[in-house]
Amino acid sequence: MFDKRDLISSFFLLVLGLFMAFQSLKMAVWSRSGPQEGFFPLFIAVIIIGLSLLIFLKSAILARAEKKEILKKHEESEVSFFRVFSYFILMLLYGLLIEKVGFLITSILFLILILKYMEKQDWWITIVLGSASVIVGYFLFVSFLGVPLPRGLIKW
Amino acid sequence: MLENLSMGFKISLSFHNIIYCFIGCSLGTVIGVLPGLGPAATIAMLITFTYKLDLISAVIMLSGIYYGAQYGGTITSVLLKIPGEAATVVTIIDGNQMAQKGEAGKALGIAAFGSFIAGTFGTIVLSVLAPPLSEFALKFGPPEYTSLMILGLTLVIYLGGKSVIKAILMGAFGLALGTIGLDPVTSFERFTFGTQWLLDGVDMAILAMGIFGIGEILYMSERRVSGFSPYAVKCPEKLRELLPNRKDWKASMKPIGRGSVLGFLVGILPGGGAVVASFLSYAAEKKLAKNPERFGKGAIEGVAGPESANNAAASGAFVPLLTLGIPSNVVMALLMGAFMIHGVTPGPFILKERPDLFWGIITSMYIGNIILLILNVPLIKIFVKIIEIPYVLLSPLIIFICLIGAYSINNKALDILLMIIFGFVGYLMRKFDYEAAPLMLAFVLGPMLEKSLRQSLVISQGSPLIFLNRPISLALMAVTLLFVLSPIVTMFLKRHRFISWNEQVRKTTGL
Repeated sequence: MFDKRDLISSFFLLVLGLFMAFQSLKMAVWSRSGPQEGFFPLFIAVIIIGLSLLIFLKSAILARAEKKEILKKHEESEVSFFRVFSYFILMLLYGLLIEKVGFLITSILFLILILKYMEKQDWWITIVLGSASVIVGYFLFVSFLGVPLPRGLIKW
Repeated sequence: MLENLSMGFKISLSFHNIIYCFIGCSLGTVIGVLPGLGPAATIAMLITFTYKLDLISAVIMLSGIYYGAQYGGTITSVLLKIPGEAATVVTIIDGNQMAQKGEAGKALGIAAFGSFIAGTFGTIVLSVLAPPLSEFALKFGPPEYTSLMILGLTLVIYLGGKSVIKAILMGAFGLALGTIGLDPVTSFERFTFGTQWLLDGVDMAILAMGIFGIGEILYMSERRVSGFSPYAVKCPEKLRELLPNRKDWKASMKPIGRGSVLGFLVGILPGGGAVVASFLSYAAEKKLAKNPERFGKGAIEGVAGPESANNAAASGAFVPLLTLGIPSNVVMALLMGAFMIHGVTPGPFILKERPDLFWGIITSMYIGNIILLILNVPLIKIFVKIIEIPYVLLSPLIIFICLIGAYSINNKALDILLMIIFGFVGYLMRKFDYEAAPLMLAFVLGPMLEKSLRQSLVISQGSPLIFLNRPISLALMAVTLLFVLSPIVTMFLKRHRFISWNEQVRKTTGL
């Protein structure tokens, strides 16, 4: 059974393994007093390279042999990669902006974007849930845990 | 023994610890009820909160979440044909059938009682086994630890999912992530790309929140979720309906007993755990039943056995952590992280140096099981209400807590970004069919393994024979080899049947 996913994933893992091997060879691998810092990473890299190559070759051979439609393991209908990607980007933006813009503004913007635009809730829920989350979050982290959350543009 | 227990109870019966136990158990049940959010992600998120708490209270609460989730997952499995937890997938087969026939109360009731009996049994065995095991573990030196960890990793990989190669790859990836930071022996900087930030390595909570929290959220975000399962059954109204009658008890006693023992033993094995235990119990009960055709149509043994097994396994999972300092599954790895944050390294010394910690935790499990029985029998309707909360409201909350939680670890926004990247990795792993447990465990065990491996080789002056010269180490290596080489053993552990049961369950539940 050919699985396109295996082909792709094993390729990336292979690249990872090669990268790791390359980096670990730059380190000292062995000396008279035994294994050095490069030993373990190299060992791991070899395993990754070997096994990912195995999967890759197996998928490639099967792909050649079958030449059929790629077997889809899960239903692909209704799966919106756009949604996944949007969430991913929104979260990244949160992380990138929180220190510059501050906890308060970033969180409010983030929650509004998610609740209103991604999950299509109405304004009422967005505002209530959004503010509740930010307030609770503030109390939990700042008051209870004493974590200084970034103030950013607003100086509170 | 009795003095230890009474000391432990004095600690766990203190007002604030009971509260924390209650919070943990309730939260655990809620988590179990909610599909998608599991104890791993929750505990990862809460680890940051435990900074402020005393270690005993923190572990009591976090443990409560873990075994509480085993109780909660049953509710959705029986009533909605959706598994709240991986360990309750098997309960769907007969549990939901029973519900369809109007016997939801019995299914839930026997599951709760079975879980209670098994959980208590597991805790008792834990209390009895742990001290001698700790004593034994004091004899362990670096070679023994190395062999033990190799065995542990091997088990996690073998008892994992379908593809062993993929599991090994995930294990290797986890080991790789563990090498980031300072080398444990020479303090050489590895894979830090010249940054200060990665000097301490990747934080376990970030990895866990990323893969299990954000990763799960991304996966769930693929489609707009709305409405319920079409198999929904109404929750039984009266308490009496939740009590199984004599006939049910008679039928269930042996499955509960077998499930408890089986579950505990499987729980001790790294990589074993509640999921495998529940599958094995189901298979065993079906095999041993008088009329096996009843299974799949609402046989109470198919609920009693697995439900007991998963709770006993949860108790068993604590054994390696508390006695040897080796985590047996992802949750234990996180608990280990919580210990280390508070400056305590779990291992055989805990019993000697911090008996208050040791017995406080164990006795809290007795209390926890009682609390859970109360929560799951009379108060079950509250939890059923929770299922009705639309997921769309919960996921933003979860994301938000993860985001701030990630920041709060080191006050660095970079940690948030790293967590999100791991989230994406976790999502890809889900899509490409790679297991997360080997990754997590290898990540935790990796640095420890490397350290003891290198220490061993220093002791032996470079000779790998040291692992075979010492009896305990030799024995452990032999068992590892047995697993790797013998297909009979792995078949006996029913990986085969596990996989085919897995497939059958997936077909039944349409997952």
